[in-house]
Order: sequence, then structure tokens, then C-alpha cells
Amino acid sequence: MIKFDKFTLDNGLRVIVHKDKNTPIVAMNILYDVGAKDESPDKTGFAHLFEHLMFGGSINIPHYDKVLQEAGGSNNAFTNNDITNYYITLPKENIETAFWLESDRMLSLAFTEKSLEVQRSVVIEEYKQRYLNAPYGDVWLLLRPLAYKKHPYLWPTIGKEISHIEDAVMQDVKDFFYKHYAPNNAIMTIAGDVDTEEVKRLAEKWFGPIEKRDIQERKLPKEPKQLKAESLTVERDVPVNAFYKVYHIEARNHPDFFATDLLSDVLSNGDSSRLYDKLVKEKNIFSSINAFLMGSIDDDLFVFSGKLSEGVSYETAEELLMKEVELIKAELVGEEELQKVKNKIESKHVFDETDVLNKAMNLSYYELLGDADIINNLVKKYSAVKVEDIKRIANKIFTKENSTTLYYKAKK
Amino acid sequence: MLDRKKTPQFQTAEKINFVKAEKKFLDNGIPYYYINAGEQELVKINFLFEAGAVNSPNPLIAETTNAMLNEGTKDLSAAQIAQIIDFYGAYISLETGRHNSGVTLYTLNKHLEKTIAIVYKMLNESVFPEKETDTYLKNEFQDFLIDKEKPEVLARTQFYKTVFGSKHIYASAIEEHHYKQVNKQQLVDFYNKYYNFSKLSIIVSGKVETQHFDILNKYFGKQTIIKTNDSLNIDYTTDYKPSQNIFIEKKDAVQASIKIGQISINKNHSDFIKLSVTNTFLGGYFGSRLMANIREDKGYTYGIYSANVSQLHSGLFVIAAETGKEVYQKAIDEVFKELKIFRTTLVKNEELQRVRNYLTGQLASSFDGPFSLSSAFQSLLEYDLDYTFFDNYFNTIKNIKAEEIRDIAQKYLNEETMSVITSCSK
Repeated sequence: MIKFDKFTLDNGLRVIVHKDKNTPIVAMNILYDVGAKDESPDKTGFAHLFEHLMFGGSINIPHYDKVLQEAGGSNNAFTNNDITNYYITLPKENIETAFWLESDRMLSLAFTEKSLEVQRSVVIEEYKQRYLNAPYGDVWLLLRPLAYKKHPYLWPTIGKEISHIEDAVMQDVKDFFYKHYAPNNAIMTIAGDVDTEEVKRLAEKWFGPIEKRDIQERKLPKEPKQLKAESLTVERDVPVNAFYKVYHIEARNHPDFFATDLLSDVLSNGDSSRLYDKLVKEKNIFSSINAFLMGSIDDDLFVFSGKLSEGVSYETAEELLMKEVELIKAELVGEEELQKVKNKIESKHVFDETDVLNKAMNLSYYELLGDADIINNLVKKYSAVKVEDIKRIANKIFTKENSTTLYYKAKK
Repeated sequence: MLDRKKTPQFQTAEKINFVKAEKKFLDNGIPYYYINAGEQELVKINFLFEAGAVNSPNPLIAETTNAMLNEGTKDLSAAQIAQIIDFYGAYISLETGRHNSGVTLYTLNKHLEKTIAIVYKMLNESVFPEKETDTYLKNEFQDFLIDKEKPEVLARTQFYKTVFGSKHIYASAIEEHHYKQVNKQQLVDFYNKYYNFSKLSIIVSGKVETQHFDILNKYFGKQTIIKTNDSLNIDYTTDYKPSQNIFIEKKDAVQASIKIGQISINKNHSDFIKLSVTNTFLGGYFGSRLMANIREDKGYTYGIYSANVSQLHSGLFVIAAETGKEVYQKAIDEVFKELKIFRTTLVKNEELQRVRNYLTGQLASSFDGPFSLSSAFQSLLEYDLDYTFFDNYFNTIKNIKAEEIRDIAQKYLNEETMSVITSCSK
């Protein structure tokens, strides 16, 4: 059970406080409700580029990192298709430094040309390092636009192409900031040996004066139901054939989420999971195979990804994978098999609680989904899933017309 | 009126308190260390053996033996082991190092005995079934082929050869032919010889209860252990010759992987802590000089770092980055410029203070929570060091002078003695 207090400042900033007296470290997590899905199709990669610019100096503080390091802190951030998330850990005595730093960059950035110019190059190098120079790095650049036709999940967080990042100009940066960065578009969580009253005082002091901004209601195109199977074959200079198959599933807040997540666990979480046991260990059709949910908030994807063993054809690999899929559609999973993956979830939940930063991130995230208290009901929700639910979900999502397949072939 | 330009007051810790490991012995003399910290009803248990890669001529044998520990015992198949561990929500991780290898069990306290019973079988009754071994090796070989495509891996492998000398055991890398040469008997032999309880230490961290000792003692403490004298005669003499332009071609690579560095000292050396603190300025944190110049000013890379890496019998110093293909030479030039500045001018008080405070905060974080405490302890155990190492580290952070930093840089960070390895397309 993760206890917390919650309050909202007049400017709309939501604040969550979790007390954990066992650690000398305090974590501050600020989630901005903006991700790659909020970009326009001709300026993709922007949310992530912007995350870099948030470290390039704010209106009153030229060097974000320097002063944080002086206070013994460290920080980082990540962007995905849904959110941009910033976090700090530092000794609890110095918590005010975190309020000072984060409030200033929420107030306004310095918007220097130098920072934009440098971070453009840094992000381009990141693009190359992670997406072009790494084997299989471009998989999601290929798969997303194949699986999504309308929803902006059709481009990856890093952006559709490097030119979008190269073309970013200062006006774009400013527009993006005022459109999405605001107290009324953020959720802040403080976790550590702190008192709610003290956090309230600091939040009022540093964030209170920031004005509410005009945040437009998000109107994203709904992904139409997929009516026919899609597939793509590419050849790349990689040593091993890889295989990807994805299916559309419901959004994160849909009640089916829990059964869908457990379905993926039965198939591929742990060494005793079905796909690993049958296809890697017993038949060695794949050298590795995974089934997982992308974890997006809107219309999500169920993903199979595998590397084929040497000498195995795509036909055989796909056929045997589909046999497992058909089996889980036709027959109920065992009660004990389901209990096993539920136990794993419960255990993971307890392990997650050992880390104060983890808790801070999760509380912000679940508040975004509707209520931070969701975190305390997760285990119960997973427990309630029945073997019949797993079968029902499998039949609902695993249909040919709902599938998108990528054959990522090794050039011989 | 709120002055946003003014830094709020902050403090730096004058003392860092943390929970230390306690030592006991099982009935048969196996060392049992425990760190009781944290509120959650769970523990992590490390079973550490002196069974690292240096102990086998084919480096793949140590790794494969370790990886096969959950692939079948006398009376449990791989699937059964997986089934039981998964059912109790436990997690096993298998790790091979150069000198030590181990099994780590993460488990909820309520399932401790059931999961330990499985680990006991893995460590005492593994059978290395042929089919599982073949599958494992085939899959690993595929991963190996994928890794070989990465410029970073190519540069790193060569870097170790250059730094230690190509014959040195620390330079030995797994190669294609090794995969063909592993057989079941070698694994069984390695297992019998090195996964011997005389070479075992147990470290428990988390919410440790007294009965945890009893349970471990019940399984691991009853068997008589025979100390064997089989220390290997490994020659750890290094043979380092600087070589400033090694280029490894990787067709079509759009980025260059750069490694700059040389042979260096390890944790047992009296300069190690000072060098470690000194390195922080150069490339040991996000605000370092290399990051400030090569990423934040020039935008040549997504990240650059430097580190002094300790090995049990030696050490190395490395500066590493992935840069744009067109700018790698410029990046190398900038690294050399920074090294020169670092050696010839004193660090200013502001930077000194910043690094001191940063490292103090990092040190506090490294003692945050039972698992961090356990890692910190393990980092001492391997080198036969005690907790005074951290006292010395803390005192060095607090008291090191600009002159000492310059002296250390002059002694250890000279570009004339460093090698440069680049992997990229032509």
C-alpha cells in the first residue's frame, strides 16, 4: 500500500506527496501531459527534442545541471508517445533546490539559439546511435506507420525522419512550450522523508506564482478498426532473421487491460511461459520470442517479436507461433498457470516499492490515467481476471484482419 | 518578492550513515553476510563463487556453466525449475564475471524456503542436459553475431587487447570458434571444480529475519567442505604499448565508436580514490568537461564519458563516445585539448565545490536501500577491502585540493601514453 496526499494549486498544478522515511534521498517527478502524439505530422520528434532543450537553461537559471549537482542531486528525463517525464533525486535536506529548478523551467525557458543548435545535433546523433547504427534499430520506424493509419502513434518518439529535427526553428520551440508546458498540464510527485505541509509551502512558494496557461483540449484522430491484414518484408544488413507481428488492442483505461496484460504474461513472461517453453526450448524455432503490450495510453498494440533460429523458415516460424495463438484462443489456460502470472505481478509490485523514484514516477503516471490511487488497486484488478477472460481477449484480438506483420530479413 | 535568480540554501552531508553488512558462518564455515535494511518483506540473496571467466581457457565455458544452472538438475527439468520459481513470483539472475560468478535470487520472504530449495539443487545437482545446452549455445551464437555488427563492440574488444596485450586474460574475448568447442563434459568439470561450496559466499540483503540464517544453514551448512588448493597460475603481467590510430572498418556504420585510454590502476592502489574523484571532473558525470565541450557545446555526440575501471589484477582508463562519422576526428582532438587543459590548469573553486557536492550526493544514493547497500558491499568484498574504503572515499571528496587533482591528472591522464581506437565505415 502506497499512501499519499494529493492537492491542487490554484494554477492547476496537481501535487502528490508520498512519505517514505526509510531513505535519505527524496525524489521529485514532474510529468507533463505531452508526448509525440501531440506533434503535427510534419514536425515529428519535437516533444523529444524539446525534452533536451529543457536542460538548456531557464529564464532565471542558465545552467540547470550545474546547480543541481552542487546540491548533490542527479536527474534525467524521458519522452514517449504519450508523456514527457522529468525527475530529480537529491538529499532530502536540499529539496528546495528541486522546487527552484523545476518551477523556473516551467515558468519559462531561456530559448537561446545556441541551445537549439547544439541539441538539434545531439538529437540527430541520438537518432543515428539508437535507430540507424544499431542492428534492428529501425524496426519501429517501419512498423508504426504500417500498424497505425490515423492515430499519431504512427510515428516514433524520435521522429519520422531526421529532417524534421534539422528543420526545427526557434519559433516552433516557443510555440510548443506555451502550448504544452504549464502548471495545469503537469503532475508533480514528491516521494521521500517529507511532510505534506512542507511540500505545500514549497509548492505554493515556487510554483504558485506561475500562471495557468491555455491548454487546448486534445483532439486526436481515433484509429479506425483495422479491416485487413498488413505485412511488409525488408532486407537489412543484419545477421539473423527477425519477425514481428502486432495486433490492435484497447486503450490503457479499458477494463480489458488487465486480462490483456496477463495474456501476454502467460505467453511470454518468464522461463516457464508458453512461447519460451515451446518455441525456444522445446522446438528451438526462435532463438528468442516475446509477447508484450506497447504500453501506450490510447489505442495500444499487442506485440510478438522474435528472432528466428538458424535454418528455420519464416513459414515454419509463423505457423508454429500461430499454433500457440490458436491454442490459447481455443482452450482455457490452466488455473495454476494464470495464478502463476498473477503471483509474478504481485511480487513485482512489492519489489517496485523498494525504490522511491519508482514510486514517484508511478504515482504521477496513474494520476494521469485518472487517479494515483489506481496503483493500490492494481493487484486486486489483476486478481479478478478469470481464465475465461484470457480466452475471450485472445479471440477478440488475435484475428488475421487485425494483424500487421514485419519480416525483417537478413541480407545474405 | 521571490528572487528566482538566487539559489536556495543547500547543505552537504558531513557524515553518511548507512547499514553495514554483518558476517557469520554457516556450520561448515561458508561465510554468510547479511544487510538488514528496507521495509518490504523481501530479500535478495547472492550466491557468489570464485568461478569467473579467467578460470577456463575457453571463456565461454564459465559463462555457459553459469547460464545452464537453471536448465536441469537430477530430479527437476528446466521447465519445472522455471515453473516453481515463476509460481512463487521469484526471480533468478545468473551472472558471470571475470573472477566470480553467481546466482542471485530475489524472493518474497514468505516464499523464501521454497525458492532456496530450488537454488540449492541448482548449485548442487545440476546435470547440464545436452539438448538444453545445444539450444542455449545456438541462441547465444545468434546474439554474438548481432553484437559483432555493433561498432561499439568492435572498438571495445580491440581496446581491451590494446590495453592489456592481446595474450592477456582480460583481453580474451569470446570468438566464433569457441561456440564449436564447448561440450557437456567441460561444463560438468567446471561445475564440479568451481561451483564447489569451498568457493561460496552468501550475501543476503533486504528485510533479513533470523530464520533466514537457519534456512540457509539447513541447505548449505551441513555438507562438509573440502578446501582445495587449485589456484591457477595465471600471468597477469600486462603488455601495454600505446597506439594512437587503430581503425576498425565497419561497413555502412553511420556513426563512429571511439575508445581512448590506457592501462591504469585498480582499487587496491593508494591513488585509486583520488583518480576516481579526479576523473569525475573530466568525464565522470553529466556536467563533466568532456560532456560540456563535446556534447553540450559542439553537439558531436549523444554522450561521452570517461572512467577508471578497476579489475582485480589491473585497471584501465577509458574515454568513450559514439559520434557522427564526419566529426570523430574533431571529437578526438577536443578530447586531447581537454586532457591538456586539465593537466596544466588548476580546477577553480566553483567546479571543485560542485563535484564535491555531486559526489557526496552520489555516495549517499549508493547506500540507499538494501540492494544498493548490497552492491556497495560486494564491491569491497571482491577486493578484500573493508568499509574504511568508503570513509577514505568520503574524506577524499571533502578534502581533495586543486593541486592534488592536477598532480593526479599529470600522473595518469597523458594523451601521449593513450591509445585511440575507432570503429566506423570508411
